[in-house]
Amino acid sequence: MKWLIWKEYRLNRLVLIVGAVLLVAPHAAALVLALRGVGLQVRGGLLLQLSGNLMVSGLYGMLLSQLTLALLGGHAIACERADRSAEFLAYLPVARTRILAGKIALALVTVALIWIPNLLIVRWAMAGLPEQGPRFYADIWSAFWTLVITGLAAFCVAWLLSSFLESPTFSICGGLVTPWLVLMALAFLVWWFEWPEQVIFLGYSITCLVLGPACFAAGTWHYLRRVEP
Amino acid sequence: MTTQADHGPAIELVGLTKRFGRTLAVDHLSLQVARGSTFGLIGPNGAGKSTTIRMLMGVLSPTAGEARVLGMDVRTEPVRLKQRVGYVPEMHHEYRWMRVEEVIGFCRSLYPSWNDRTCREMLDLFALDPRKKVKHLSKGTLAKLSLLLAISHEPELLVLDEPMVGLDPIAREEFLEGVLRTLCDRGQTVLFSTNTLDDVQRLADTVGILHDGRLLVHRNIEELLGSTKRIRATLGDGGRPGRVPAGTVWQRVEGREWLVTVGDFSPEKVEQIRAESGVEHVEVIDLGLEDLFKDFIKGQRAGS
Repeated sequence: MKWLIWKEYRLNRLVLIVGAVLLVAPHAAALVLALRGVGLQVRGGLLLQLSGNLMVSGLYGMLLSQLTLALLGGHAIACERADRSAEFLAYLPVARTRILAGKIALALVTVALIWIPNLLIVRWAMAGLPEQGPRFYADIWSAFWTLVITGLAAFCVAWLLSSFLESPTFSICGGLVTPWLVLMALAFLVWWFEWPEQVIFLGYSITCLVLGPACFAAGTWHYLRRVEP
Repeated sequence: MTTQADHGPAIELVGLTKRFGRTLAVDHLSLQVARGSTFGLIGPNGAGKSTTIRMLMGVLSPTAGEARVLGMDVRTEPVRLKQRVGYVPEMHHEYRWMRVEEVIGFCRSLYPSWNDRTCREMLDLFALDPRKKVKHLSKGTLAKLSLLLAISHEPELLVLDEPMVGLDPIAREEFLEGVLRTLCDRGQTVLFSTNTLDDVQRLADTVGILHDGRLLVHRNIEELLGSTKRIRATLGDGGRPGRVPAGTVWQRVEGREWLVTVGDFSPEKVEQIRAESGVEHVEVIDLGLEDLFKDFIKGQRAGS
């Protein structure tokens, strides 16, 4: 299993580097801005400005993690088909379930390494801000939640496409675009039927929470059932 | 404890069929390869050799039929089967970003029967640099690496799909005489497909000729070469070829020369030609595997 996880890490090393850059860059920018006296949300001392900036950068970090997750999901299966190394793997005595376990383990660790720091940073930043602040941070946790379920949907849709396709590019694009299509479709329905705006948030949450696991399960099932690499 | 599966044929195909859309790649192929034998699978390009082998290895699903390898159904026990089979594909797709030592380490972790000594011997034999990246290996060196990976876990069955493609003459000789000969002598079952018929004649004890997905011949190579002869008859003035003998594989008339290749040769067949066709002279020619193969294929093409 160690070698399978190592193989996954090496296959996705570039994606992980991109993920690390996208994780660090917003917070580094927030720090630089605070040091230069720029407060994105609140003005005051350095610590207060840093807290306000990090709260924003935490959300940006979550937003940018969509790209990492779509890259990870899209790469998961299709990239080995694209360079035909899936053929090599197919001739080796390793069960598909073990191969998948390696891929899922890498994805889970990556998600944890991206989301947990962002979560902790936002929590720390919130603690350092006055209780009565701009309306923006009253909604921060719902924004955070929306980005979490968007990431889940992006990864799972890309995973599903990756299990069917030979091209990681299409899988990644599919993963990135689908949550936005869902959002646009819901916005259109709300506008068309004149529903209250809260329906968008609720509908989006439900759709992503259903779509994500369903796509993941379908992709996994297809990969396990398929005889050809 | 030995089971019946341990004593049965190494490979058993029953009505194996593969269809790609409207193309029939393998057509109801039934075949048995005995344990300990060396089986050469030959056929023209597109005959279905690689498709058959891929189905045997469980990486291509058959449209119909069954394939059992070492007594195991390739569809239901793929992992156990691959642990006991070494396979060298026609195209080599090892991870290009790995170093040779990393590919070896990766495969080693997956085979319980991996033998480090065999692996080291093969590394030395093929002069492979363990630090070199796969993407920097030449086609021939990549073939050597594939062979090393297929052999180092000491498989009971070795399946080679065009294994000599890309090997230089020296490496080819080393492989044929050094590696493959050792495996054959050790009693391991070997199935190999190739277009180099000399190799088949040198190593195989049984040969199968595949054409358009159908198995035309499956026989012991000595028996096949001993029983298939070409009869060259010179027709007399105004003479015309008569009825062809039973078991005719291929025939050609050019001027006064009538060539007939017959399977299951017997002197009676020569007498039949002499008696029914008004020939002046008849000569019986022994065939090498290459000529025999060509005649079988030409006969099929002429008949279809």
